[in-house]
Amino acid sequence: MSSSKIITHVLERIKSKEFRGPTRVTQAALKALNEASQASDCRSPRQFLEEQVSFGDLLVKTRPTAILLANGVRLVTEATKKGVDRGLDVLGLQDLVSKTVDSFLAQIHESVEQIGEIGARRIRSGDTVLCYGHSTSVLSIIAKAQEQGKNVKVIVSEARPELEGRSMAKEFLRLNVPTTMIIDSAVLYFMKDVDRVLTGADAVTANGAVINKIGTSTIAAIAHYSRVNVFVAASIHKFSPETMFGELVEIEELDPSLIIPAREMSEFKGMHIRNPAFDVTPPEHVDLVITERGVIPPQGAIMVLRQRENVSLGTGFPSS
Amino acid sequence: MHSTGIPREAKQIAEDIRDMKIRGAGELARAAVRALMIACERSHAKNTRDFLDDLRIAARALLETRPTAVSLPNGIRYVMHRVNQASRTTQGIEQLRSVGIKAAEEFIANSNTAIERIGEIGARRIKDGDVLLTHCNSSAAISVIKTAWQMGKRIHVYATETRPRFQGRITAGILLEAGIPVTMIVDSAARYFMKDIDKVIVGADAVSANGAVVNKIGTSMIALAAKESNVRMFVAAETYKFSPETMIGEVVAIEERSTDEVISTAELRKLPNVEVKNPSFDVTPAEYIDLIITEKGITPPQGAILVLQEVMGAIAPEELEEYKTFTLAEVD
Repeated sequence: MSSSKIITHVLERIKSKEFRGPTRVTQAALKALNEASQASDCRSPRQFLEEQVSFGDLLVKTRPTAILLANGVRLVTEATKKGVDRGLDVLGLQDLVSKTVDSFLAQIHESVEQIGEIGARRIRSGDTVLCYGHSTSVLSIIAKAQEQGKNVKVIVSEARPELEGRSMAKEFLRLNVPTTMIIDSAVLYFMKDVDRVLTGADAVTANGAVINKIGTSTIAAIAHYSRVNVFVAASIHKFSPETMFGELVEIEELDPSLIIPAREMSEFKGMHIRNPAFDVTPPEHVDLVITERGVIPPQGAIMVLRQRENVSLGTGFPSS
Repeated sequence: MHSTGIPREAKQIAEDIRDMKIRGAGELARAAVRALMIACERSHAKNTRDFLDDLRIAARALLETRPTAVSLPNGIRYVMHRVNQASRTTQGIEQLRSVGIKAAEEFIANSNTAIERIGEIGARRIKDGDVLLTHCNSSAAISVIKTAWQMGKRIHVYATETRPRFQGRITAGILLEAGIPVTMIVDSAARYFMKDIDKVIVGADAVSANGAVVNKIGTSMIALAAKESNVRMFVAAETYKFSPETMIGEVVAIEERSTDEVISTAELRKLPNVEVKNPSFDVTPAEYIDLIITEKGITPPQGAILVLQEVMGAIAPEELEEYKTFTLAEVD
């Protein structure tokens, strides 16, 4: 398959919601970026870099809020750029890309494992955990807690409009975790039965705000009001460097037909629909962030961002 | 004991209520009171005790229809309280009959104009250019919004879709038809948009003696988000939504509805580890509500007890016991 076909194919799969959560999307996107690089028919290193940057742009645009994806793509294209500056030829660049992608994917995989281990220690036996949004790291935490012999129950909120609560319920079935499903409006009603709130993150900003599936900020506010701890599971690669320089993380708006099906819209002539995919939870409503390097308060994000090696203080992403 | 039994017409009304042919809190109350009025008119009782028995039998039949709205027992209480009081000072059947009929007519007339009155009073609290947020489908809240629009106030309304039954779509349709700009959002996006909102306006299924409001599930979350953003929260509720039995410590029990409103039975079967919970209502504490708009005027939620006493009269605890609401259910 040609490079562009490889990219087009993965873009379609991402758009069709085949991949739940930013981690799965990033894994698929980077694998495709690698495959496309290997299949590239570019003759010159400059061309190769240009092609890769344009592919990277396309991938990042599918999920502008998923910082993990932006960080991963940036890592690859910056490595390639350095390779070009060092005088590598296309074959050398392809090898470099392959190593860079493999390394990052391995880091992601490790991070999910480590977050699971660390997070599981914060779950007590008998805890009822409210989980919101689809998160590979949250599943890892619950799975490890189970392995440690802790009897955990979960409550999942359905998470309109994409209903990620149902896909999480399927995963919890695989793990054999007793699950209660409720609608999003019932979270406050059941908060008194909740011991911990646990979510993933699409992005963590420089001041420690967490960007996650719409509804997360409401649940965090309720938990805060009800004195229930809110734990956010997020790899350091989800921390957004652009926000250190005042950039806002873009909040993607989803297809309005997820709220009113297209064929029914004729009954609602003139109605606007707003369908933000994510919202922003302020740091004061997050008790701790569980990263692969350990537990930090949300305000610790700035330290993580400054320490992280692959932070580029350049133009940010996408490059256009 | 001589009793006429329930007149056929009154029995029919009770059956229609039970079979959900009569819908909406106001309609339910008016229908029940009409049935009581018929019982008053048709009673052949020759003495006070038998007359009261005739009414009590009819009242029982109406109350036992099913879990229902607060408005129905309130309507019944309105009539029964006045008849009971009159029976302490007069022995004349015809006098009691006319007291009963008059009370029933009063209640029905008041109830018919209540929604309109609430609209007029509430609309004065809406400013030109206000952006409002509403939840579920409340005729009282819609009346406030539409009346404000008709007064020439250029408002914009955010309507939450209101899972699980998407009643927000009904509200959106009604407002759009009146020419009012509407934006629809999912329920959990209320906090996301709260900074753009000037006022929240919702209805109520019940108001308790301490001013807490029972309304569609999700209302309490919106209230919390409003409080966090210093946004005013208005509740529009007819006086017969106020629940007197909460004055004697009764808790309004909340209906759990069928799980297939949340997820289809077929899909649920694929998830044997999953239990679904679907409560219809939640309780918003009084301190999250700025004011309640009733047809008798605006009251702070903490004034609920005054409203209750003024409208229902000084009802004795035994009378409250006699006509309890049982479980609060959706009646639309």
